[in-house]
Amino acid sequence: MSVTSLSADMETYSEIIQVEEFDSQQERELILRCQERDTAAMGTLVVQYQHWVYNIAFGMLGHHEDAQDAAQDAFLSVWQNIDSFQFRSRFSTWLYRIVRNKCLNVIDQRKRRKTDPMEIDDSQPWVPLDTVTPEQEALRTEQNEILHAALDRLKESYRTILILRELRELSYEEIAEVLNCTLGRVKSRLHEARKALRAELERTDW
Amino acid sequence: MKHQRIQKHLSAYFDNELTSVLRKKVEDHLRVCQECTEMLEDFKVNRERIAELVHPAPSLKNAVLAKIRETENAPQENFLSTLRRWVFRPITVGATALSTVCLVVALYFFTYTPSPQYDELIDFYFGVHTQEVANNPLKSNVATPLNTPVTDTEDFGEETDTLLDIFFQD
Ligand SMILES: [Zn+2]
Repeated sequence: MSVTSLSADMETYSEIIQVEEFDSQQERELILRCQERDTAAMGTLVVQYQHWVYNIAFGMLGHHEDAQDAAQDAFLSVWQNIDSFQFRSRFSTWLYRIVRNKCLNVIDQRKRRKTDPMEIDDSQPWVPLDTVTPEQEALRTEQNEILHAALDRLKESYRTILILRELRELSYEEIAEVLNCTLGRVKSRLHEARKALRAELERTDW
Repeated sequence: MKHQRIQKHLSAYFDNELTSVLRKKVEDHLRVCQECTEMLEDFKVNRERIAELVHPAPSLKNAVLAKIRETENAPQENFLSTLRRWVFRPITVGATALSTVCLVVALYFFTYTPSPQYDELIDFYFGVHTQEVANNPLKSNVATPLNTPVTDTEDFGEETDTLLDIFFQD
């Protein structure tokens, strides 16, 4: 698939999921074009990464609107700071680091507003990826809410590392790049995070 | 290895991030430890649950491109309005006040013309000082103002000798 054919508008969910992953050369070309202020290239990058950027933000924030705002802000930041990307790390890990920072800003703002713990947003209908019965669907949504609540009670660093590993399936090396820490730190923090989530879910009698 | 020390590696074992030696040790321990086996099983279940949180994202492209246009087409603020906005930000208002005071003091200092009296007084003391320096044989080589007549110390010495001669002759 050529880079230009990807630039075409992809508005529906199903089309977005089927976006092919770029090879590194295609991605490099797109980034270089963005550095030359080519907005069409930026649009293609957004289409390529919006799925994971949104899902990481949603995992961290548990709120559809907030996740959407954080994801948009992250992409805007990418556009504004693309000149500082010098291909020294993977673009994806650079992007996820920006996403994490945007989510941390949202969490900070929430703390400052001293609002109640985040409510699980159900305005966005869960679009099932496979066919499930309504009963299964209801159960799944309820379980997802319990899981979101448990994740929300974890330390932010635990939640982030679980999202990056279990949801995005990043390697230890990639996680170290996103979090800007050592592999040893990734290993120990991930273990602590998994134990903490397990304890949290046991407490809620799942 | 003890149970606790093995358990620390359980997560990395689960992610297949262990060396073969350590991996073998964990596997041996799992055969005899119920607690670690249960923990590993829970890690597996929780991973699947978290993976289920992934769901289709809304399309962000148009919104992002609109934001980009918005920021890039925003009317370029002129220098004065930017300065005004900066100057009156609450955080900079203290610094602004301080720098204004400094500016006023600096202006006063540089445009201040001393009164004639002040000039004369300075000239008087400066004159006395230069005379003193010029007359002192120890200091005369330190500073000799250009506009003061240079006094020849040898001549001065000769003159003194003549005067002393006259005095003792009597
Ligand atoms: Zn054990």
